[in-house]
Amino acid sequence: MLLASSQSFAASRAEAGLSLDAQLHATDPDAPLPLVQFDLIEDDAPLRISPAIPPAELPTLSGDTNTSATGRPSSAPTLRDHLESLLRALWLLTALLLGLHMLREWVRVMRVRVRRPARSIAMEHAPWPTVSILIPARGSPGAQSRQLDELHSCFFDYPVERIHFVPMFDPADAEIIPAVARLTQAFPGRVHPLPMMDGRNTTLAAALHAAVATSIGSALIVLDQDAPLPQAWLRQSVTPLLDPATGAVLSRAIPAQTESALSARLNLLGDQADTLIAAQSDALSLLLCGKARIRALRRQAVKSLETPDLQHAPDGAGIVLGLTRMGWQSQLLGEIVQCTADDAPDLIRSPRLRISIALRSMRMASLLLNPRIPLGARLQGGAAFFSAALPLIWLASLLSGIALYFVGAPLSAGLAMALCAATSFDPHGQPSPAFSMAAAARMAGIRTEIRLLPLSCFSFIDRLIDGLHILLRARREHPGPPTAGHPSIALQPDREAAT
Amino acid sequence: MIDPDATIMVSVTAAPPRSFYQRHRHLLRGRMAQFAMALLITSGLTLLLWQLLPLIYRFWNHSLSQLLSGLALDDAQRVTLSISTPAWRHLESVAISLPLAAPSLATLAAHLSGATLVYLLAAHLNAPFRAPLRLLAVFHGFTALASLALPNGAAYSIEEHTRVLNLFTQGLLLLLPVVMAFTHYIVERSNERRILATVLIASYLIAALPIKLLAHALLIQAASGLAMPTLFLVCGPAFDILAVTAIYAWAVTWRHGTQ
Amino acid sequence: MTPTQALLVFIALSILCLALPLLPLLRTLSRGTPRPTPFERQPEPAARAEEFRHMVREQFAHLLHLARDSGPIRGANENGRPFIVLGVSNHLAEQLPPRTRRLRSLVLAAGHLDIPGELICDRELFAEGRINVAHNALIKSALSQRDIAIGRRARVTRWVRTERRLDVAEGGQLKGWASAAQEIALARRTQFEQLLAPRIVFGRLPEDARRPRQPDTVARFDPPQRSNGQPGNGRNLSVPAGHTVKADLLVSGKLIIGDGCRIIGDLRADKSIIIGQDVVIEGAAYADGPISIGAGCKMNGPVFSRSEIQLGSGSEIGSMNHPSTLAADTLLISEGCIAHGSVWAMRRGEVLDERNAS
Repeated sequence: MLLASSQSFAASRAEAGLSLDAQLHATDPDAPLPLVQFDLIEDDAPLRISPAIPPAELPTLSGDTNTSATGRPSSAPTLRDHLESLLRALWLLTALLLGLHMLREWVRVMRVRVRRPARSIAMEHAPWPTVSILIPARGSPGAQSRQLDELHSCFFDYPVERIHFVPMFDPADAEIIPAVARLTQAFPGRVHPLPMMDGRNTTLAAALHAAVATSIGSALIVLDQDAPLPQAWLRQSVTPLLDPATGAVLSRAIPAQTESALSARLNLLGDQADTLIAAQSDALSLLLCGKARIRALRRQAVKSLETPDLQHAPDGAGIVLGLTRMGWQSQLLGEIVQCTADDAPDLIRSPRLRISIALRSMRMASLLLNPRIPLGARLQGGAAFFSAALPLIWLASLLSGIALYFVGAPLSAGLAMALCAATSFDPHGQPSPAFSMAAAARMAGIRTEIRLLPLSCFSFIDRLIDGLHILLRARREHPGPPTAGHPSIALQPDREAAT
Repeated sequence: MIDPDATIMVSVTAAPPRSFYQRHRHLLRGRMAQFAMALLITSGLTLLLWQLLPLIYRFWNHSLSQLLSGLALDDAQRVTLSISTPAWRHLESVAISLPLAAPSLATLAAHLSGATLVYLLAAHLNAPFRAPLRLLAVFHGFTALASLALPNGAAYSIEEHTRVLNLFTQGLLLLLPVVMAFTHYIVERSNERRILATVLIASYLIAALPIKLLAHALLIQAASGLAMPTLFLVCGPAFDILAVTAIYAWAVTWRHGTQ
Repeated sequence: MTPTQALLVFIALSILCLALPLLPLLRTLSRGTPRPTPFERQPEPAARAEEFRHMVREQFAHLLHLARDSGPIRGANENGRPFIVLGVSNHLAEQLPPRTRRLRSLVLAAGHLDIPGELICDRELFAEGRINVAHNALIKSALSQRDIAIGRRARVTRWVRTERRLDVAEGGQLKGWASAAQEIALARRTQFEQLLAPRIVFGRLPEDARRPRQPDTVARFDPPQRSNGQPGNGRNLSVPAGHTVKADLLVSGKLIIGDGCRIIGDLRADKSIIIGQDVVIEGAAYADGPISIGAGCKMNGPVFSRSEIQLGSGSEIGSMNHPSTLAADTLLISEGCIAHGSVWAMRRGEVLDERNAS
C-alpha cells in the first residue's frame, strides 16, 4: 500500500507541475480568469493525466518546477535525492517496525479476547495457604486508624484463621497505636505490627523487607489503596496463586478519587487496560505491560537488593530480567531507595518511556544473537528488546517524517506522521495504538472513560519529553557513556528524578 | 545419570487429549458465521465507497466552489486534477490555489514572539498539555526560522499543501472499512452498529474535508508560509487520525445489546 | 451577506467541524471523574439462591402455612408478579389450564412439587418437600428443602439448590449453578456447568467401586540430566510407569505420568498433562493445555486446566474430608467418577456416554 501511495504521489506531482504551469502561466496575471468560467472549464473537462506521459518530458518539466518552486541550484538535486532516499529508507524501516508492533498488539488483544475465561474463578475448595496482609502506612493518621478499624468488620471470604495482618505504623503516632491494639485484640495472635521509624524506612518498598521477615504466610498481600475494601476479593485473588507457575497476582485496581485531574484519569485508563493483559499467564506480557510488569520488576529489585547475585528466574524469563536488570530494574531500585511515599503521588510510575533506559538496553542486543542462549529465551529477550527500543523507533519515524516534509516528499511525511499519531495513545508513554487501549479497557469493564482516549496523545508526548529531560540531565551529570555492569551509574538519574 | 537424548519408554493407557481442532471445533463453527458477516460488511462498505467516489468528488468540488464564492475570494481557485491509472479507477484530487507572499522579517518576528508567548503561557496549563504545547512552540519557532531560509518562505505552495491533505483523507476514507474491521469489529458484536460507526466516521471525513482545506488555505495565506509545517504536523494527517480515533473511541463505548 | 459575515460563518463552521468528533470526549471530561464503584463481583448464583430463600421466608411463610390447611392460593405480589402457593396435597398440573406450555408465576409448595413434562417455568420454584421436574421441562431455578430430581432432557437455566440430594436423569442439562447439601448424581449424557456438593457422582458407579490398587511402588525416578550435571531445560517430562515421585513437577512442555505412579507434589505443565491409569497424585495439577486423566486415578488437590479435562472412569477428585476443585473450560467426565467439593466447567461439562465407544 505504501508503495502504491508513493507511486500515485509521484504521478500526481508530475502532473501537478504539468497542469498548473499550463493553466496559470497562460493567463495574464493582471486579468485573472473569472472563477465561474474556470470552474466550468474544470467541470467540463478536468485535466486528465496518465502515467503514460512521454518520459522525455517528465524530468525536464518536474526539474523545472522544482527549481522554480524551491529555487535550488541544479547541482543540489543529487545531494537532495540521496538525502531523500536515505530518509525514505529510514521512514520505511521505522514504519515497518511500527506496523509490526501494531500487528503484535492486535494479536495480543485477540489472544486475550479468545483465551479470556468466561468468568473469573474463585475456587470454593482448595488447600488455602496462610496469607499475610500488609497494610502500608498511607495518608493521615486519622485515615490510617480508620482503615485499621474497618478491617474488624471486614468480611473475608477466606478461612479466617489463615489470615495474618502486618500493619505498618509509626510508633511515635499516638492515634494509630490504639487502632493497632484494637486490631490485635480483634484477631489475637494473628497481628504482627511493624513499627517503622520516621524517614526513609516508611516507604512501602523499604517496609517490604521487614514485612517479608515479619509475616508468616506463604503469600503476601499488599493493600495498595486506602479505598474501602471490596466484599469478596481475597479468595479470588489467592486462587491464581495456587497455580505453581504463578508468582504474583495483580488484583483489579480500585480507582482512587482523582478529582477530575486529567492526567490521573488517563493513567487510570491505561492501568485498567494493562491490568487485563497482565492477567495473562505468560511472563512476557507480564513484563511488557504497565503496573503488573513494574510490580514484577519491583519484586525482583527487592530480591536483588537482598541477594544481588542470585538468578531468580528460570531460562526464558532470565534474559528478559537480565535485559531489564541494567535498565528498568535499576531505575526502580533508585525509586525504591529514594522515593518517599508522599512526594510522588504517582509512585508506581511507568518507566516505559525512559529513553536513557532504552539506550542502555540497546547494548543487550548482542545477546539475542548468542547461539548458546535457548531460542525461546532469545525470542522473549527480542520482544523485550523491541519493546524497549519502541520509543526510539517512534521518535525516529516522526523525525524522518518531518525531514521528508522539508526535503520535498509531503505524502511520505504525512504517512509517517499519521503512523506516529496512530501509535500514540498510551498515556503511559509506550507507543501503542488506540484499539488495543480501547479493547483492553472495554474488556476490563470500563466504558465512558475510553472516550478520553484522544487526549492520551498529550499524556504520551508529556512522558516522551519527560524521558528526554531525564536523559539530558543524566548526560549532563555524567558526560561519559555509562558503562554496562555498573548499577550505581544507572541509579544516578533516578536519584535525580526522585529529588 | 540418563543421557538427555535418551527416550524414556512410557506406557500410558489414558486417552490422549483431543486435538486442538477437536477442542475448538464448536468455537470455529460458532464464529464462522460472524466472521463471514464481518467480511461481507467490510467488502460491501469498501465497494460502496469506491462506487460513491464520483459523487463524493462532485460534492467536494461543488461545496468548495460554493465556499469560495461565498467568501468572495477573488484570487482563490479550485484546482481539480484527474489521475487515471491503468490499475486503479479514475481518481481526482481537489485543491485550493491561493497566492502566497514571501514572508518578511516582521512576520518572522511575529511568529517567533507568538511561539514564545505560547511557550510561556503553557506554564499555566495542567500536566498533560503543558509539555506538548511547549514542544509545539519550540517546533514552530525552529520551522519558522528554517522556512525563512527557503526562497518563497515555504516548502510548498498552498495548492500542494491542500492537495496532500486531500489525498491523505481520500486514502484514509478508502481504507476505513478495513481499519474498522480490524479495530472496531473486535469489540462490537452488533452488525448495525459496526456499519453505523464506519458510516459516521466516513461521513465526517467527507463533510469536513472542504472546510478543512479552505481553513488551511486561509490560515496559511494569513499567517504566511511560515505556519505551513506546523499546520501540516498538527492539523494535517495527524488531525485526521485524531478525529477518527475520537469517533472510534465513542463508538467503542456504546453499550452492548445484552448489557 | 457581507464578506465579513461570510468569514465569521466560515469560522463558526470550522470550529464546529473541529469540535464535532470531540463532543463525546468533552462531555465525558465535563462530567468529571465517575465515583469509584466499589468492585463487587456479579451477584453469584449462590447469593441469588440465598436471596430467594430469604424472600420466601419473609413474604411467603404465612401463605405457605395457609395453603397447607386451605388449599392453593393464587395472587400477585406488590410488583405485580403472579404466584401460586400449593398445599400439601395439591398438584401443579391441576392448577394450570389444559395444554399450558408456559408458566409465568412463581410456584411455592408446602409439600412435594411436580413439574409436568414439556412445561416452561419462567420463575423460581420452591418446595418444602421434593421437587420432580418431568422430562423435557425447562425451569429457571429451583430451591427445595428435600431432594430435587431433574427428568430426562429437562433443563435448568439459572440455579438449583437442595438441602439433600440432586438427581439428574439422562440427557438433563444444568446450566449455571447446582448445589446440594449431600450429593449430586448425574446420569450419562447430562451437561452441567458449576456443581457444588460434598459428593458428586458421574454416571453409574462400577460394581466394584475401586479396582485393587497395584502394590506400593518404590522405584526411584531420576529426571533426565545433561552431561554437565545440570538439570535439563524441562520442556517435556515423562515419568515411567510404577514410580514414586516426591517433588513438584513443573515443565514448560508436556508432562506424562505413567500408569500406577504415585506423585507426592504438584504438577504444572504449560502444555498438556497426560496421566495414566491408577495414578495417585497427592497435590494439585495445573495445565494451560488439556489434561487427560486415566481410569482409576485419585487426585487430592485441585485439578485446573485452561483448556479441557478428560477424566477416565472410576477416578476420584478430593475426598469427603478434604474437598477439592475440578475446573476447566471443557470437562469430559467418564461414568463412574466421583468428585468431592466443586466441579466447574466454564464453557461445557458433560458426562460421557461410553457404551458405544467401548
